[in-house]
Amino acid sequence: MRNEAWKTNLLKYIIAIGAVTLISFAFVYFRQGNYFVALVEGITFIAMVGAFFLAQRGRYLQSAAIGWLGVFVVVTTLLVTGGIGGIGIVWWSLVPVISFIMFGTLGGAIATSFGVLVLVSVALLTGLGSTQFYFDAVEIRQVAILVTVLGSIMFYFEKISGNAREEALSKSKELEDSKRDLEFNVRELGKEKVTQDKVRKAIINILEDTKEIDTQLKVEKSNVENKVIERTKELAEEKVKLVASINSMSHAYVLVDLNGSVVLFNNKLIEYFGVKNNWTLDLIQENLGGKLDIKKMFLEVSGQLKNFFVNEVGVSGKYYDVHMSPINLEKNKIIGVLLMIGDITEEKMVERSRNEFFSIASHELRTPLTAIRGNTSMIKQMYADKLTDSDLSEMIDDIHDSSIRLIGIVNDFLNLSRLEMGKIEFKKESFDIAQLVNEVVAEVDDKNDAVEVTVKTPKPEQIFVVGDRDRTKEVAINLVGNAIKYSEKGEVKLTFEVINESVNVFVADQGKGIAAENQNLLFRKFQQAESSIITRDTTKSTGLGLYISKLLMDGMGGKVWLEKSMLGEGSVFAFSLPLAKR
Amino acid sequence: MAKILIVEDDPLMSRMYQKIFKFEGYDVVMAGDGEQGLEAAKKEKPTLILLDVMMPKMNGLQLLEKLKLDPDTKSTPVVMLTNLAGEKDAEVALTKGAVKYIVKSEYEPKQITDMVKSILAGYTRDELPK
Repeated sequence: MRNEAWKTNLLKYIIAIGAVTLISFAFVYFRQGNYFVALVEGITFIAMVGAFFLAQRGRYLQSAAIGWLGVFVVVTTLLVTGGIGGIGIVWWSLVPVISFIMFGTLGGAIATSFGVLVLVSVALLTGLGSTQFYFDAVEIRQVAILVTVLGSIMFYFEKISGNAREEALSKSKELEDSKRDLEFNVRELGKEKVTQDKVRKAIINILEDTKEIDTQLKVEKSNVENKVIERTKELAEEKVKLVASINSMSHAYVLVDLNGSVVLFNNKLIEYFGVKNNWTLDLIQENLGGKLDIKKMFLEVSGQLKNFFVNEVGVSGKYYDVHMSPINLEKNKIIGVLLMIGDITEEKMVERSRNEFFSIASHELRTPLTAIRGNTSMIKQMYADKLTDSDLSEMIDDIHDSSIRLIGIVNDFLNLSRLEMGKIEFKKESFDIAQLVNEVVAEVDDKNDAVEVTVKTPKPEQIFVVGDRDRTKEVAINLVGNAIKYSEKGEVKLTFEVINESVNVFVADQGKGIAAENQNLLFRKFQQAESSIITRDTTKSTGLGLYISKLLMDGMGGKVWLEKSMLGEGSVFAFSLPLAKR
Repeated sequence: MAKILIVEDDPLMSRMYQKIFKFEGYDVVMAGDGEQGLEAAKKEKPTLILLDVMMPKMNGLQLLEKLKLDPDTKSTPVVMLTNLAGEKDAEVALTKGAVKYIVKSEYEPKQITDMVKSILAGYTRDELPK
């Protein structure tokens, strides 16, 4: 493109120079009075101007044609008129210009041939000595110079064209390079192919491996399947075991889902209540006599994760216990509710007969014992003057004491059975504990002269507490009695302490004390604080006293405990009751 | 001399109480069951009645009720004697008009006559039965 622009500009400048020269010569010839020449120069000038503007617009062929038209007019005039001095051949110099501009085109070839033809013709005519055509030697030099200049320009152009060839060469080199590149690429592709082959092989290997894996998977799968079958069998066995266990339970077993529908139950349920078509909580409730609100229990168990145990539901001569609890999978997440019903009729009967036995036996035992006690007492009183024999007197005393001890034991048993059955009702009355303690001491004291019992008067002197006065008295008698019984000598001291809405009564003795390891045996059934049953002191108690005292105090909202005890130094027992509100 | 009616079905007990009250110088009338007790109470007009709770035919509490309904016997003090150391029995007896409730095995016969004596003394001093 750059070359094209250069050519265009060159053409324009040559035409412009030609045009300016023509109009200048036209003006000079017109002043000399040579009007014909001036006209030719002028016409040629107009042609040059047209060519210039056409070249300016890029229309080279038309421009060249008009240029040639001017040249043709001049040359024809020269040929026809035989030349005009000072002008003529110089205009022919435009021919090579046009030729070179149209270089490589048909137009260029015609222009060149035409120019050569004119030159040859002129040369021939001149050589033949034609005088008709006059050429000035200067003009011939001018032509020679112009041709030389134009030749140089053409040479230069050729050089540029050479450059273009070199460019083409370098292009071909580039092509060579790209060819090499391509070959390289092809080689590389070849290598790629090797890689691809490897990959393909690898893929084939993988496919083969996959096949193997497939086989292995199949083996695994069949293993797993076998295991599943095995496990299923085991599970089935487990289930059979579970169902069998559930069915052989001594309780009716009912599994309820979270909607309250019965999901599973065992044979015991049918055994208890008969065969039913469709077990529901309502139906179970009905069969339990309707008093127990099973549905409400279910809602509380499933909703609040409570546990229920109702230990006695009586229905037409039968007794059941009812247990309901949530079935937890994890903390606070339940999958259902378990309802268990047990027939406890037999146990109830046994318990009742045992209690009745206790009660009747106690009563029936006490009457003859009372008779023994009363009669021996009366013998001593009414026949004192006849009891001169000290052995006889002692024997009667022993009978009397035995009966009292036996009555004590029977009373303990009776009390205990009633306490344990919850048949003792505790009164809530307000009474003066200080007065009660003094009363107890007055009753209990005189039995052992070696032991002195003192009561430290509290401040205030009267302390009103809430509890069952008679039961509290039993406890106080037990504690003070024990203190005296287990002291050889010394002092039993009773003190009071008012602390936080309750009063503590301390019974301190200077007896033998209780070894630390035996202290936790206290307050238990049939326990004396002795290590061995053989060493127990049966002359003193049944071992029920503290146990009964504990049940009594528990029953009326009080407490009884061992404050402290040291072997050889004595013990401090205490009980407490809440203060009465004023 | 005060007359004591002892209503007691168990011969061991009745003989024992008969002896001690006689020994203490009371007139003693015995009845072996509730019905006899009611009859004797009306007929003998005792100063005080010792009444056992558990008896055949008519028990002590039933008899107490009848005695308190009868204008002839309703002001006679009644002391309940029993070996049932139940609170409820004691309360029932006291609400039905008994003056005291004695558990037989807890006391020596002499203590019982002493209690009776003090009850009678109270009655004599304050509101002697008419």
